[in-house]
Amino acid sequence: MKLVSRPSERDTRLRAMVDRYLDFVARVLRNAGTPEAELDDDVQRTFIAVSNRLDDVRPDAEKSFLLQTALRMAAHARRTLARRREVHDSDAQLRIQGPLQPEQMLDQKRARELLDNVLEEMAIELRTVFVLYELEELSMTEIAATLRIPQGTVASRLRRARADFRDRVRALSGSTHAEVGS
Amino acid sequence: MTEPTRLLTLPESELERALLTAGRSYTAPGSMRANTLLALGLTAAATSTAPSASVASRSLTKAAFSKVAITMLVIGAAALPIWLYLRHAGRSPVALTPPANTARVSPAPSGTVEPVMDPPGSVPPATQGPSVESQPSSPAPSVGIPRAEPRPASTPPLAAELAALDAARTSLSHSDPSAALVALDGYSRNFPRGRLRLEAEVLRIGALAKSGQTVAARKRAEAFLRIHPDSVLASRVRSYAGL
Repeated sequence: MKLVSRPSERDTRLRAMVDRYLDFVARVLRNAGTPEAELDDDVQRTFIAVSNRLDDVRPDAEKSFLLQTALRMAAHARRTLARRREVHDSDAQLRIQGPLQPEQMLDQKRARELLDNVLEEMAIELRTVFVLYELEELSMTEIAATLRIPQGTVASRLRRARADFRDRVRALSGSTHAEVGS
Repeated sequence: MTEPTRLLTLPESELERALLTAGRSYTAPGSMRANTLLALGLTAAATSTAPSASVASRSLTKAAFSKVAITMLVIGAAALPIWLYLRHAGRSPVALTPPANTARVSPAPSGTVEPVMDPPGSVPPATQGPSVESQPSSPAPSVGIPRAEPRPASTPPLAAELAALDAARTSLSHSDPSAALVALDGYSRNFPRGRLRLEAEVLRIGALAKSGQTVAARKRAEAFLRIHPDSVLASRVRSYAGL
């Protein structure tokens, strides 16, 4: 009698995906707008969604599939958040009212909060392209394939997103110099 | 198409560098991997607070199961003469074959039903009367031989439970929810107090949902979440039931 069922190939594959892409999925969700408090759930939902479609996912397309799923999860999270805006009143305390002190700039936790604020203010189509290019370091070709939009559109959105991001960061730091280079 | 240099390569301020670095360096908290594996039914380390987590571990090696099997064989061999003697003496070896659930059934508080201990072939929780305690904390009353083993010595219970649920999970992943439900019925029948019953219930909710029995799936999901709102399986239940 078989005492222990061997872990199936499916389970092995899923486990390997979690090991390989967990940080990636969590980071994309976080940067794309999933609140910290819901991150754990959304990471699980992302992997469950992929698990349910595992047979349809080519091994070389796992990352892309996870990315697309995570972006959809984050979009859902943002919509949910928008519906209960009043909950975010407390977050207003985190927003910066004036130029930052150097020690504030260098604090990692603070930097994360500030980044959240900056990203949250950006238009979603600009934010997504910005996150994928500047934070995930995807190529413009990869972004175009992931979002299913023309490369020209990616380039245009990226240009606007970088300008928007720098404007907002300058506003935070009080800096006024330099244009966005390319 | 030439790609622009990434901002972090040439940040125009320390603040910009700090923000971009914070965005790139985000890593998943330590518990997230375990929670994700558990949600996928893959699970990992045992924990004392989550019955399913504590037993759904696939990290047990074959060697560990072999030790369990040998131990149970020894216990079984020792218990057999005693059981035969008691049987011959006309005493009922109650502890060897306890009636399912009888010691643990209690009236349902405010109509709620524990979703993980349903009898085989049961209907959705809302239609049932009694409920059963969710945490197997108190030992079942035993008469006669107190240390008798309730299961056949040749079948390590955990391995058998895992195998039963693997069958259900495999059916579910192959878009065969009917077969998954049959497997889960078998699990409930064979392991009325199974230690993986929470996991089994989650799979049942998934199977019901996938088979189109969305109302039943939703009822069970709501009952599950009422009783285990903070379970690591909760998000999976919500996902299955569309809550």
